[in-house]
Amino acid sequence: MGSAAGPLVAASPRTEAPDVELSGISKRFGPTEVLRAIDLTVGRGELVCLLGPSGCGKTTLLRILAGLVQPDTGRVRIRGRDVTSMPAYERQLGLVFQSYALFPHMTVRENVAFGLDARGIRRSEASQRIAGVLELVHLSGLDRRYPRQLSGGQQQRVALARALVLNPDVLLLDEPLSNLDARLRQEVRDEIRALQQETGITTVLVTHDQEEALTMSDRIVVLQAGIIVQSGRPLDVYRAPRDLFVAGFLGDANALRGRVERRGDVVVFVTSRGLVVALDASRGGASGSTAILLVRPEAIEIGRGAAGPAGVFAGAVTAVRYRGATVDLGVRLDTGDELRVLKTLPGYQGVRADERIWVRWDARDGVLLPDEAARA
Amino acid sequence: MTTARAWILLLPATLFLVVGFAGPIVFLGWTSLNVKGGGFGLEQYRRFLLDPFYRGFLTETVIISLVTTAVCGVLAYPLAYQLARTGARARSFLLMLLIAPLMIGDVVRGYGWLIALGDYGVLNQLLLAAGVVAKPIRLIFTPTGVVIGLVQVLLPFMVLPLAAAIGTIPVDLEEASLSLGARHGRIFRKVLLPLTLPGLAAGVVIVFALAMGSFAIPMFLGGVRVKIVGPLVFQQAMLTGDWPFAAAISSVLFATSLLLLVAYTWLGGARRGLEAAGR
Repeated sequence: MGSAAGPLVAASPRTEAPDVELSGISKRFGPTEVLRAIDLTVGRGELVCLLGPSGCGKTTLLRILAGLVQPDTGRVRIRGRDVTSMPAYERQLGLVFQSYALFPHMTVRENVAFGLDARGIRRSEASQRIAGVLELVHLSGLDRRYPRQLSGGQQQRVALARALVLNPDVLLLDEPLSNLDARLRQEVRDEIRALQQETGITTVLVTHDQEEALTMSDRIVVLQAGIIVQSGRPLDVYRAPRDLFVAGFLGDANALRGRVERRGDVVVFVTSRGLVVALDASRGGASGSTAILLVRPEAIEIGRGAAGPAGVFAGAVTAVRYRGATVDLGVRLDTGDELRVLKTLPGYQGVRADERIWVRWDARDGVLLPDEAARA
Repeated sequence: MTTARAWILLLPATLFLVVGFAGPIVFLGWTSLNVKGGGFGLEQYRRFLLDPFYRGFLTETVIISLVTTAVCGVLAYPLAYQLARTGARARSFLLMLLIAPLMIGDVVRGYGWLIALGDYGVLNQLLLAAGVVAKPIRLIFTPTGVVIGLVQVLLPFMVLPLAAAIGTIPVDLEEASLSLGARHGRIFRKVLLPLTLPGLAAGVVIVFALAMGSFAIPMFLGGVRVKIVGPLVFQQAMLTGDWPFAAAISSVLFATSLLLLVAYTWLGGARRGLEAAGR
């Protein structure tokens, strides 16, 4: 961070309370229950990502945090202070919209100055802070441009600068990358993450994009139908999804249905088609229960030929789909179980459709989930 | 061939405008240049613009029109905002409420206001009964009465362009302003007002022009005391039979509105030019 941007670092005294504390937040719009008793805390400097499909309530939750929507029940605390009934203009939050919501009739500088002006910051201090924040987001020299004269990525950075210049307690980002094209998205994603770590600003980010969530956040909170389904570090959630929904939403997954059985000393998983899979001892479910075994496509190893090392499953390739850096294989095992396998180019060994191959995976890569359908 | 066909389609409307609009204007101008006792000259214009009695009509009409326009602008913003920001179903209902009065002629409404605002009309009866005033307040045959009537008739013409302008402003901008610490007054001044200026200008031009040319409302509510140009034209043409003078007054009225329209177009162009210069 440049020295001019020094005052931008959130410099509030350390307190015991987390920066954001939502407790028992519920909201309904007419007959639809958008959020049900949400509890969520975000620590100082943490970047938490609210992930979920459209309609899961993630944007409503962000808007409640911002003070633009009033929750039906529950409290919102920011830095220990109850702000539930505080209007949006009194909360010290930086909100960046999906559309950026830049003022079209104002220059970059005027856009950034808007909040400082509204909060009655002295002119000399204001211009210092504007210069600092524009440098921070690499927009120095463009301060006299109008938003429509800027590229999408630049507009995004103006929106960020406009929010950051106020030294907000928390930065709120609503789908910040969805209006950018694929190549720019990656760049801006890294930029935002770098900026966030540089300034150490507590951030809540809303997205439906799993890659965005995995690469940017310290913690992912997966929402479904107004409920937090799972929350944890990106890798933990990816490796140990709580259910099929999370597994499917965060990456691809092969889901094999069957039951857990005890065979002598070991616990195995038997699919409904009769495939017998060894289980990691530490993850074994109760014997006799129906379950789903989850295997990530990239965790599966393949080899050519009908016969392989002991403990592999024989099958045939049903489809080969090239996806640039990776190859997506469809495999039907001799038991009839279908699998998707993802290999990088050297790893796929040039197998063709209808070729006989074998597959295997480390027992630790199999995740056992309760069978929701059977339980219901 | 396509061009020829386009011309054929354009012809009826063009002819109608030329014969029904441009023609009478030329005729009006021609008539206004007639001088009493034969010959041509600007005598009629001189009489209207230099004689203090007649010039009073122009001044009072301009003032009443300006006040009407200003009151319409102030009243229209909340209405237009509500109209632009409600859901589609509620919007069509509100729109109907707004436009319904236009279905009733000016004469009926003028007469209605006469009854409502009269010395012993509905309003004064209520005020007297409530003890707010000791004796009836004079509203009819005063400029205030005329403004009240005109505002009611012309308000929709201000609301509609404003609502259209507000409708093009994303709600995000207001919410962003809120989260940046701006209260509603600031949001109106710094965001809503500047972005709706084109709509406001359109409303101002329409309402001002219609107020300048109004006839029925000032006839009923202004009587002979309030000097409004519209009724004066009627009086000169139909009662006095002074067609050249009536034509000259009409021409001045027409020129005023035209000037305003040109100013509006020019200002719009200037604004765009200014923005382009920002590049």
